[in-house]
Amino acid sequence: MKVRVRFAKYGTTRFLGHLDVMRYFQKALRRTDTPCSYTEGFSPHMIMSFAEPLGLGVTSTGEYFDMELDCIDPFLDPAAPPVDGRSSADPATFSMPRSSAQLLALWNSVMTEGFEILSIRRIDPGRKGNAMSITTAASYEITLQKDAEEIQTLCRELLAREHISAVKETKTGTKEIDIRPLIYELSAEPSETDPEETVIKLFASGGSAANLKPELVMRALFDSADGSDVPPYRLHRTDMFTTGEDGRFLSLGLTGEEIP
Amino acid sequence: MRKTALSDDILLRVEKPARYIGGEVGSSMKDLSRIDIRFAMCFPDVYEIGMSHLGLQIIYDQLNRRDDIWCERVFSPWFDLHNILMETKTPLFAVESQDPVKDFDFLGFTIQFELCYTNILQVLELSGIPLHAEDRTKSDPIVMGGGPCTCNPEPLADFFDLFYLGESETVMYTLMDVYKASKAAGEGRRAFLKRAAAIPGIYVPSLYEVSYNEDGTVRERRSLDPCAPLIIRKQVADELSDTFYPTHPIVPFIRATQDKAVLEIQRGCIRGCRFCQAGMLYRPTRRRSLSFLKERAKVLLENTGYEELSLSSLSSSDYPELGELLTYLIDLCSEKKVNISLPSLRIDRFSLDVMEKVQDVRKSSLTFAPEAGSQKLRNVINKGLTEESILQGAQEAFKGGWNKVKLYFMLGLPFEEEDDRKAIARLAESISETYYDTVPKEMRHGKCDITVSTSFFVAKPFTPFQWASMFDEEDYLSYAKTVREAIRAQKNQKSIRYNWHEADVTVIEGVLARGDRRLGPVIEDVYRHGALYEAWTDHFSIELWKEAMKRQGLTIQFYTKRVRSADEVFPWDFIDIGVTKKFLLKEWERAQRAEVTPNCEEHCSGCGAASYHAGNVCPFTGNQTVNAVKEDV
Repeated sequence: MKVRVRFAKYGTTRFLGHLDVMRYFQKALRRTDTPCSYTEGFSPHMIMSFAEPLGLGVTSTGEYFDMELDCIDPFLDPAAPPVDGRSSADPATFSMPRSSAQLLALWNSVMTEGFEILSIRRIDPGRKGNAMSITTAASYEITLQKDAEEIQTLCRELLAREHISAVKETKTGTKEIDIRPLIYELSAEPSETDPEETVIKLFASGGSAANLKPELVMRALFDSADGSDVPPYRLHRTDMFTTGEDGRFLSLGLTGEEIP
Repeated sequence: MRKTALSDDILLRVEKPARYIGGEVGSSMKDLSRIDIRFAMCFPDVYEIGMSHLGLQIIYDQLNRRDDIWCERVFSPWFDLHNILMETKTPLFAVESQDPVKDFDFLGFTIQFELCYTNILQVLELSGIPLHAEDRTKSDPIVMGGGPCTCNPEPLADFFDLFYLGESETVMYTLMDVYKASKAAGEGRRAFLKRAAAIPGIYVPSLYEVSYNEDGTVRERRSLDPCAPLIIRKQVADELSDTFYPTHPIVPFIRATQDKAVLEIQRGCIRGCRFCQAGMLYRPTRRRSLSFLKERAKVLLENTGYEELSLSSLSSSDYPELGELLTYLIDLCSEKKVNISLPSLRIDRFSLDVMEKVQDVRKSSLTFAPEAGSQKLRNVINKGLTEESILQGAQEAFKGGWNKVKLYFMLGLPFEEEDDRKAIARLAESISETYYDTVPKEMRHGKCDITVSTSFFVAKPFTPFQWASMFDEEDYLSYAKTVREAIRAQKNQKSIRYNWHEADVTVIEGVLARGDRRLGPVIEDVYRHGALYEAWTDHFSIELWKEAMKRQGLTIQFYTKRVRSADEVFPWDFIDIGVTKKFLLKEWERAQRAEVTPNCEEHCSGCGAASYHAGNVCPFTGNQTVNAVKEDV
């Protein structure tokens, strides 16, 4: 059964890089003894693919990875022809699945502080693409020590521009791009927890095709091409989205089905 | 919410910030209000190296089982953080609580290799603790050291309040209890150290004075206090199957150098190779029971989620129930899709069968450690491997589909001659020829790939070779050159790769291994001139040591090349490890005649380790009583 897992990364785990996070989850799942699917061949590893790597120092409540659980998919017709030579209804090759609620409780029981599993949903194996390929947008909260009104003005002014040129670093060098069309929403408000702070809310293009890094928006806001004039800030990714059939953005956490 | 001692700004500037944040699976967080003793356990190298060490996990687990003790970890900060801590005057902290180390009751170091000594000074300095034990006050932690290098702790005597000689399972709790009582009674530092000195196995260097002869050798060691005994006996755990061993080891977030669950199957070794310190130091040989190992293997994998399990011992082939253990582990691991790693195995039919089951389809290399190229020299070092058995093992391996072989040797061994070095090349050549003779052309998966690796022999205390002379750097390099040229002259030289270790590091290791108290100022001098992470190839500078030795009026050659007489008093003679000096001297004499000494299971040679067993009976030879006479020092 293919599943999409949503997790949060908070506190000191923000200092772990993407590969460390991946290895962490591989070990965590082994501790729960959940039957997972492994690759064939020389050194089998867990089939797990992440939506997008999270940068060092960034917290999140909207991280995702897809994986294969070695169990029956309750949404598939038992009479259907076997997939990859294994029948989904044959208890000899697959075990009975646990529900989303059960899996959530089990997996969270082996988490350390700084990681929390938020949801586990079944994904239709017939659907093309995985979390990485279907991501089209992401939402962020950027917290900084600045007056809210000042930031709100900057945001309004930025949105009013037709073009915002930014320098994007590519593998071969740098490239100048127009990031205005990649910014879908931008606003700011005083922080609920600290009156000295302001939280910028950004909803922007994401995924493999046209990913907008929040740092570029910050540079544009503070008119600092190399970033040296950007004040220090804390970056938090709140969620990631795909484009639904109706053309509207849908949280990756709402794709697929709850496992009963 | 976990706190950090370092700001985000600093953590995002340094390499691998995860080294400094703690919070790992298996790490221990406690409520300070319930704690009587705070213990900071240090492996004086970078996090990834320290977290690969099983001893650290055993001690951490042992101490944290007590409700009144909280054991945390501290490692050497990498260069980038080291500079930041010095500049910002931020005190070094333990990773669990992120609290400064200087607030702790104890700072314990596990001292595994000589080249970490300057890192020990680094940790002391960054923690704000005076480097010299005599300068410390009541508010400083008690600085203690344990681990194999403490079998000759003298070069470090200035820097430590006490040394723990032996295995942690023995008197660690006793030491903690004595400290707790002393602290509750409001006693000062010196009073506590005197009480500690009375505990068997605890060595308090400040309670002794060492004087030297004109020729630089040790004249006399005097105890300055009635509570400080002249002989310190190494403490040994009787029973390894009913003692501390972690069930929830700490699992690092970042990749440690050894990224696997480790199962220690036994301690000590029956082989008696004459160059090997560990083999003597960890005698008597003690095994963990099969049932303990089976249960513990399962529990370790369940609690960590590691993808690899490794068996740890000096010579795993000598574990009596290895077959049964491996059968169980192979089943357990294939069910859990876990790899098994089996270092320290003899290459024979049995181990090849095992490796077949355990290794991936793609076979990695097989390692032989003949250590010497000729039979004569192998007899000198008492490494019993015959050329016939090596070639037979190689043949079996090649038949089984392996084509990569690693061969380990040492150069600069006692009584080694030029022809012994050339014999290394001839042996490598014979192995390659065996490949081409054994495996028909159609069956070959490519060329035979042999890697010859040589290190330079370092004479260590408590081995028969503690009387041996070492050599100069130039000598070592010329020996390596001999081997290189001899390999190039072989028919199949294209199948043979050769690499050799650094000679300069060898020389300094040699100085420190058989060093005395007069080296304390040298170590400090070298540290003050910027030496750090010296065990790392890129960061070692022998020039710093040469200059420091000169400034202190000492010579490298005194410690390494000097010929030692049978009646010389060594700086480490005050330590009783069970194995007697008399036995070691006998072995040194046998080495000179290239006489082999059989292993413990074949015949008991009265090494003295049996004194740790009831009635002085060595368990390997049944009821045969051993005349293990303890050496009068």
